[in-house]
Amino acid sequence: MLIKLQQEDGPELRGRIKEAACALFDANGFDNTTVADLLVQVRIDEQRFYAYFRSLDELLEAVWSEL
Amino acid sequence: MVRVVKKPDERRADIIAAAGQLFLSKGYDSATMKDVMDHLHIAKGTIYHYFKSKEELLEAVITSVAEDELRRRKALVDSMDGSALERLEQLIAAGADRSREDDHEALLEDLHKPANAGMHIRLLAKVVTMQAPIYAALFEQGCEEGIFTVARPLECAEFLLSGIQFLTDMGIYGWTPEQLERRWQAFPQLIESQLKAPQGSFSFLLKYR
Repeated sequence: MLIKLQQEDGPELRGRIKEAACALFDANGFDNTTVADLLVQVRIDEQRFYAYFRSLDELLEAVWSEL
Repeated sequence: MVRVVKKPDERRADIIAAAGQLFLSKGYDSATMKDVMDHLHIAKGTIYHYFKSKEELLEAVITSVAEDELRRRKALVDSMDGSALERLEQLIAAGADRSREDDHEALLEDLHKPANAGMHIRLLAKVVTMQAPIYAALFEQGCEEGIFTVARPLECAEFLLSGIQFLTDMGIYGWTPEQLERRWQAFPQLIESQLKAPQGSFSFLLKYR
């Protein structure tokens, strides 16, 4: 594998996913953002993403409502 | 879902109006993006396009409440005849009336939650800077009538409004009734000395605390 995957877990990773999502939503708009874009940014696999958020929609809700 | 194409300004105003109702009925903490979405039949991405966070949306709701209130008071002052002191009393009486209305109370209660402290201070600041010019104009009228002497009416209005708003805000200080009363008792004199107004001319303030 070319990209070394992140191994961290827990609230820290959740926070990083939200931060990356925020940057992507701002740059490309929510409708043009995919889970695949996010996985590249955060350097995690799909399985780990879905362990934290059920969907991109749920992630958006979290980014939006949680400070 | 039927999508209606709307102008950005209208859409923004719709979101603010719906959120205002939701925050009041459900409480700010428990209102979600999905609630706003269901209410307006728009996608979450659309909401995000206009407001990057729930906090930003609350701020817009607050600004809109403050602007409505400002328009209302401006119209009131413009429609009033009388001396500067009479008009000031009417303006203050209208403010006291307004803050007893239910909608206002609910919003204020939300603002007094610790999580909303930053927002609360920003609303106070907004109210002060928005309303100060109305008071300043009445101070100027008083100067023309020869009853006040004030060199900087606008700054004086900002100073007095900030002091009174802040010091009487139970959400910020949590005074005991006695502590609050001690401050109220001093305000008329403090205002009179700022404006060099006749002694007792602002005693009416205590009626509207």
